[in-house]
Amino acid sequence: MLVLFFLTFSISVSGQEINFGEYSSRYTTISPILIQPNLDFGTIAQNQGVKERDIDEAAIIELEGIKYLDVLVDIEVSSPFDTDGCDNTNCTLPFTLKAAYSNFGESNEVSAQNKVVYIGETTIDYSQQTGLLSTQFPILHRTSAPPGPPPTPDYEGRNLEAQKESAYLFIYGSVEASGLISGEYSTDIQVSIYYD
Amino acid sequence: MKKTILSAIIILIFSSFAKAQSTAEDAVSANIRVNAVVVPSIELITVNSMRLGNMQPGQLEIYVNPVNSLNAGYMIAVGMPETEFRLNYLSERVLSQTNGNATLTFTYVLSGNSIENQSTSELLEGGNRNIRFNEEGRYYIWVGGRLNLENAQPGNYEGDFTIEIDYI
Repeated sequence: MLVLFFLTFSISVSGQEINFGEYSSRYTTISPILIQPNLDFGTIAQNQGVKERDIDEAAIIELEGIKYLDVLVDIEVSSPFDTDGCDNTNCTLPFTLKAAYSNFGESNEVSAQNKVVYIGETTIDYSQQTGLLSTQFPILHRTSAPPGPPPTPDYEGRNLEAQKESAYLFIYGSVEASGLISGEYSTDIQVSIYYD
Repeated sequence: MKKTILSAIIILIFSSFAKAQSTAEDAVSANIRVNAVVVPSIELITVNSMRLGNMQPGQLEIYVNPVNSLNAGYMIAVGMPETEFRLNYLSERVLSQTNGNATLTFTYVLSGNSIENQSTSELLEGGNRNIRFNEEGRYYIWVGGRLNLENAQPGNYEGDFTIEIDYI
């Protein structure tokens, strides 16, 4: 009987959450467009120290989606920034990943760069080989007003294109070269996006 | 009673699984490639220092032409062959009197060449230039400059010259 009570309580708590994402996917998807698919640190001397790639040199993803819906974004580095076959510190380039987004209805990535919200940073190196930044934001920034009515349900003939807007995601950061061996260094950043 | 509990547990587990699956199906993903090329560090070798020589009474200016003066300083930058680098320096530096408080302002003028030939070197104007190492990983730099002596106090002066080189 006691077990049943806990189970019932658990169900009632979960039942209070309205997850529009469960329904939004039925009528739309998010379209990520890779405007700048690379984060290239170029040539670095073995002992150069810190080299930055600021937001104006960032990798850029445009997220086209329904403007009143929130998206959840995971930015993940699952392997260190190193050379092929590397297994020690002098072939692993410490990498500080930074990210920001712009959801102010800017018409392109250039103007969006000047109006961003900083997400955070994480450092990936030989001792910390993975990193994750996560955030949630609406495709179009909401002003500080009382929340509006819930989104209109999908129906036949509704013009969803009119509800679309673009947000921009900027991925940048820095590396720190100290006593590294020469060679080509690389890693990948996986960006996952889904409606809340 | 046992059957009821078991059913409730099964429903809960199924419900949780269904929600997780929905999220994974909805997610779209993109991949960003991160890369860099690490190369040997740049060395800057000073072969000859610049010499200003003695000044004559009434002389108003000293000019050491980096392209043709034997008094020009001479440096060799060594780095990764065929790689671009950026050269930065402060063109104006203050020289201090060694036995006094007087100062003189020296304006540096640099020239550079991918071959070891001063007379065909080109002036590096602007203090921030993108240049490339030659196939042997070398770049040759001559250092000259201009010194205004109009209000100079007699004495010995000294100062340094800082040049920064980074890969682009």
